[in-house]
Amino acid sequence: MTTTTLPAVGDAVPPLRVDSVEADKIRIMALVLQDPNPIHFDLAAVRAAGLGDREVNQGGVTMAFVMNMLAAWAGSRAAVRVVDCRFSANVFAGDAVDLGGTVTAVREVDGEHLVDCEVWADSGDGVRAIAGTATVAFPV
Amino acid sequence: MATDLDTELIGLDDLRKALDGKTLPGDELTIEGYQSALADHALLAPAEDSDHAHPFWLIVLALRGMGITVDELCALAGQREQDTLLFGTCGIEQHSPPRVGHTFRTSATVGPVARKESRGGGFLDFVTVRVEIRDAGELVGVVNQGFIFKRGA
Repeated sequence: MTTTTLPAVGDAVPPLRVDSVEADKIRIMALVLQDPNPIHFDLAAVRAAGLGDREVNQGGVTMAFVMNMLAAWAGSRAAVRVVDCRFSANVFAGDAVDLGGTVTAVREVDGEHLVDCEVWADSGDGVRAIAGTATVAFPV
Repeated sequence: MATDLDTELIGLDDLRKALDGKTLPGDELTIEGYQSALADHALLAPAEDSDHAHPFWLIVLALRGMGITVDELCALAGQREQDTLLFGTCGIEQHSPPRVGHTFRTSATVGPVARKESRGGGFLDFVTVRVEIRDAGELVGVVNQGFIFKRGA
């Protein structure tokens, strides 16, 4: 039997680390998103845009890493109810990404516990790539 | 598609006429099983014992489901060669998980456009697109995408 402990305000969301964003996975997601922006797959275009010499991860994909952290914590994809993100820096191929969060409120709404959090994604050198908020559902 | 370097910056009134409250065509899209599997692999998604697609698919459906391409949105916003499009914000509300194999109807509208002067003396134009995603008429999710047009000199 699984026992779920309801988080409390101030608790940390169990952190998650992506050791290294892979260029081939960025390319797969360009196809899935049907995103023609060459900064995701063409190093000449990355250089021309003044963005260095590594492929740029899609902001939405870095946001998906935040969702991975939340789904792993709450136990399912369905538990992820709201995620709002602001993108403040690029994540590049080869970067590590550290995902984290802190509980800011716990509410009971229509028979389920909704847990509000601040969330973030930092690239390996400590630059905040994403800051935002999220709400996940925990069983009562 | 971006226009020439010589093109003047689109005026705020014209930008608002082109975009404020505009209803986009929307679309009908299916989350194919193989695409879901490839996305799960690329996203390093934790294992899921259900037919629920990754919540990221709401973003995919929203981007693909505006009914116009991002390039066409840029043209409506008067993007010039020296302007840069940034993905500034994104918010999702998941009302129920999108299911793999299902077909979704999307409807999209553009919110009020805002212009701010940047610290460097240029302009930033903020354009938000709200996409509602329905499965057999039932709302499964809402995505608000915040695009920023950084206007070059």
